[in-house]
Amino acid sequence: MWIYAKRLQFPVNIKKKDLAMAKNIVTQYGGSNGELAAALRYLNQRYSMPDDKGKALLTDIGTEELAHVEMISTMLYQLMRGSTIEELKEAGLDGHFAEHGYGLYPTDANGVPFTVSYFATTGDPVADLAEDMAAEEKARAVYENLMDLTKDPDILSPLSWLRQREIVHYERFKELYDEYKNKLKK
Amino acid sequence: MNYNYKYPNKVIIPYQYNNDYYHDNNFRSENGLELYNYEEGYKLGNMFKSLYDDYKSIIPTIKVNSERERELNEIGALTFAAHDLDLYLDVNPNNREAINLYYKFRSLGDEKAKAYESNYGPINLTSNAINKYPWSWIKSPWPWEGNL
Repeated sequence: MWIYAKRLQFPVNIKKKDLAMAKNIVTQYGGSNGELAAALRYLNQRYSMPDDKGKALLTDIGTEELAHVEMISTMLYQLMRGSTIEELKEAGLDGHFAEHGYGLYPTDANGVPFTVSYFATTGDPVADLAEDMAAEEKARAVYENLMDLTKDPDILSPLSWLRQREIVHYERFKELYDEYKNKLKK
Repeated sequence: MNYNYKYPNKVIIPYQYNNDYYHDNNFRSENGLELYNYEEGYKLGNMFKSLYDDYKSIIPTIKVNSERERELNEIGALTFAAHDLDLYLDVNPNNREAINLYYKFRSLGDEKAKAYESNYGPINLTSNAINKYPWSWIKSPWPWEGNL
């Protein structure tokens, strides 16, 4: 079960508002390849993992993804902090303000709300791990797209850090996938 | 190995692989983990040299604006180093070196956390620093606010 430490996994200190970038980064909050989808995917799939390794890995990575949800939320919070109604209107965020005020809400970059259909459980460990590998690669690709969209080092830092985590996660899922696939062949 | 991959007669039998991985002939025997030191690994987001890959040469930076931030980052770095080893160990539980390193990083991280908490208040509800009046857990700044 979850306990938390009252600190971010990696520091986020964004000094300059950037509403346009916030609109893009929100995809990693409530989008199809984002951290919330990842967290729910892994924490849900762990129940049908066949052995200790699968149960542990999916729980540990799923937990880390919750920490990443927090980092993305922090980026959004800091990117929008102190913005005026005029600035929100100019950035096309008046719709968001109407519905959520200065609050956060998990949507993709086009305002489409988060949906559980972004992830799957087949109950088949090989299929589920294959999805997990694909999810990590998609998240990595999206972080690269986001990095292409800004030059601010305060934003690039957490984005590139989160991208690196996707690479490590992919590797761990792949190791487990290979192992389970081999076991099935015997 | 006694399992059913197909579901004959629509009878669902849960997978049960052999948990006896301590005798698993397939475990990866490393000649030695190629790891970054914990500060470098934390900054990069990856403790494992063979896995590291940057994008357009962009490397994360950690700017420290106060002593408090510096101490918190130290805790973050040690905890992260342990965590990355935890993920490795979940799939490679037989690596003694990795277990020792995990423990070393985690212990040092806990030590630094205690020192930080005595100055700045609790990071964990389980820490002794919580024993203050009034209830200090609620105190800002909360992690998303920055401005340490």
